[in-house]
Amino acid sequence: MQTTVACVKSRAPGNLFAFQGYIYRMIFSRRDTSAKNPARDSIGALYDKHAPWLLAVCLRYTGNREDAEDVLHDGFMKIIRSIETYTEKKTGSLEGWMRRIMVNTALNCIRDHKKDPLLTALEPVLESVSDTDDADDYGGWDLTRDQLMELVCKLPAGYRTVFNLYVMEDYSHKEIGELLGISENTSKSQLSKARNFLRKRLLEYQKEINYAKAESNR
Amino acid sequence: MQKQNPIDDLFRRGLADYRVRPSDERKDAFIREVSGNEGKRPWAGWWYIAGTVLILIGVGAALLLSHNSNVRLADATQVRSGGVKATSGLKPSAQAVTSDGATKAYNSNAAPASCILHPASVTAAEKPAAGLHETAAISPPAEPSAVIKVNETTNAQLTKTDEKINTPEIAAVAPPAAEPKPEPVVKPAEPLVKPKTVNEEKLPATKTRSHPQKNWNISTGIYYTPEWMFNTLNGDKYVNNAGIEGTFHFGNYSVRTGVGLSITNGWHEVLVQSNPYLGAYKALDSITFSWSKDGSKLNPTYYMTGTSVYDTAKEYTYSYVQKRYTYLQVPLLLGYDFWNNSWLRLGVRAGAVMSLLVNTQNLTSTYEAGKDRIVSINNVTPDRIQLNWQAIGGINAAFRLSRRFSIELEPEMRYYFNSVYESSDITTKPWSIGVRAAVLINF
Repeated sequence: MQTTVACVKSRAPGNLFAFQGYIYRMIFSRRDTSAKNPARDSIGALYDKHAPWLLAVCLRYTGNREDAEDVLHDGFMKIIRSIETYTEKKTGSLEGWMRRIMVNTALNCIRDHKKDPLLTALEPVLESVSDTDDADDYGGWDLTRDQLMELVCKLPAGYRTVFNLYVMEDYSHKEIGELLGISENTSKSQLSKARNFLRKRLLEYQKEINYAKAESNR
Repeated sequence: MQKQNPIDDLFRRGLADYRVRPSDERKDAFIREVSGNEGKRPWAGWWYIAGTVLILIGVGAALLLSHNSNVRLADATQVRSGGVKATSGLKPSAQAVTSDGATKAYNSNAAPASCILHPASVTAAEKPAAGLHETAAISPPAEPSAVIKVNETTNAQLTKTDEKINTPEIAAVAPPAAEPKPEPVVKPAEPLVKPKTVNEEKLPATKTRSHPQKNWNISTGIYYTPEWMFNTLNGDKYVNNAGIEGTFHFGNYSVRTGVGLSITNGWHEVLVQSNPYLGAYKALDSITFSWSKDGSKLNPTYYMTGTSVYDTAKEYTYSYVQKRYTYLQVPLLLGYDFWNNSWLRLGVRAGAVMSLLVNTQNLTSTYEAGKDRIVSINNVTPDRIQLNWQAIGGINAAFRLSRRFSIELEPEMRYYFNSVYESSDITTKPWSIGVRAAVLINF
């Protein structure tokens, strides 16, 4: 990993001189179609290793694959460009650092699209959901990971964002409020509604599964 | 510590190691972009070829023209330093010395003396030529000996300083030379040799005595460049560039830099999301009651608030905003001049320009919604990028108006290294053509 990072660092345009060098290479470097390009191979290896789980992170935030791949692309470009600023002592593990960049890129994407008619971030959905959390209702679920991801993707953008930040990234409501520009109470409310939304969908899934099991037993 | 929730745990555990394999197309696109936009520049090869051809043409033209320009420059230098002006009664014309026609005319006047002024060595012959002009004017075509004596005298004088040569002493020497000598001293063949010797000996001396010319100079001035930009989201665009600049010339080479502003207008598309206005009503906030003065009646006071009613359905409208973008530009260009004479200089210029977006101004209002309630305004056209780099090349023509002032015209072409828009989806890279006009003061 150290070699990969070092090699990618040497390729990244981190400061003005490096940027000029990058421009120079962009103009004057010959197209290298052979596989013997260490920097490109290193970047390729980095991408192969981390892109799948980072794409899953993006998918959780955007809710659709197309936007998720866009976010992955932009996020990975940021990673490559700023990889020379990465130091394990200051910024923690490489995976954590990459995840933070990707989450921030995804949030930027959501902010850019939140006024878009397709994504209504933090806008209440016209659906009555109970605001109660009854832990007794949760038994053993027979859902696959794909189904769980599908449920998350079906969440309205506002619910999904807060749910992801709170549950998956371990942010506090205060941090979420600062990050999204909303109040702490709004964050709590969105999380609660997200949980209820998911609970309702989970129960529906479970009913379908139980029904399917009963049918098969007959 | 966050409270544990079964739903949270379920999703946290279930999605912790969830992976989605990105498509190969996306990976390829990413690798291409990271490794220097390879494959995104199908015209790159043509650019290389065009650049190479341009350089070859420039070098070839420089080689072809350098010989002629050197001869002319050398002639001009020697005429200037030869002190022809100091010779009394003579026309200080360089043409009389440098042009072949003038030499022939002179030879036709004094046919026997034609051997004295050898056409092949016009530069060294210019000093004796002055004296010979005068001699020819005073005396009729004389015998070769007389002329030769003048040349001998001149030869002797030429060993001294130029000032001495150009004093009227030459004229004073000439008349005795014109006097008939009983004995012709010199054989007819000798003049053919002697002047050559004089010329050959004096040529380096003349060169060494010429004042060393300043090989460099600095010019500064203002420029304006109208620019037509292509391959943008808004179609073709017109851009105004103006600023101050300075050029350092060293021989045929030059370095130019400066600072300027580039101003362009563009249409920015936005998507406006609004709730249509349906009407208004007065909502009752509160009522207070107070007794009448006689205490027999309760008088209510209503506190109302005017409230507008909007449709819950959203309406989407595309609107255009005209914006003005102002960039700060810093060019750095290298140049080579392949043609240079007293009034015109031609050369090639190439370099890079850094553009920094310093101001964006809305020229029109965003959207007139009337009574409708605007929910959001979303950019359809992406914002402009803050920093842009351009490659620039052109043919420079400089016209010298006087020793101090000159104007330059420079048809030029620019290629933008990156898209002027922030969105990474837009990969169109604009290019432009323009004509730079500059007024310069030379120091």
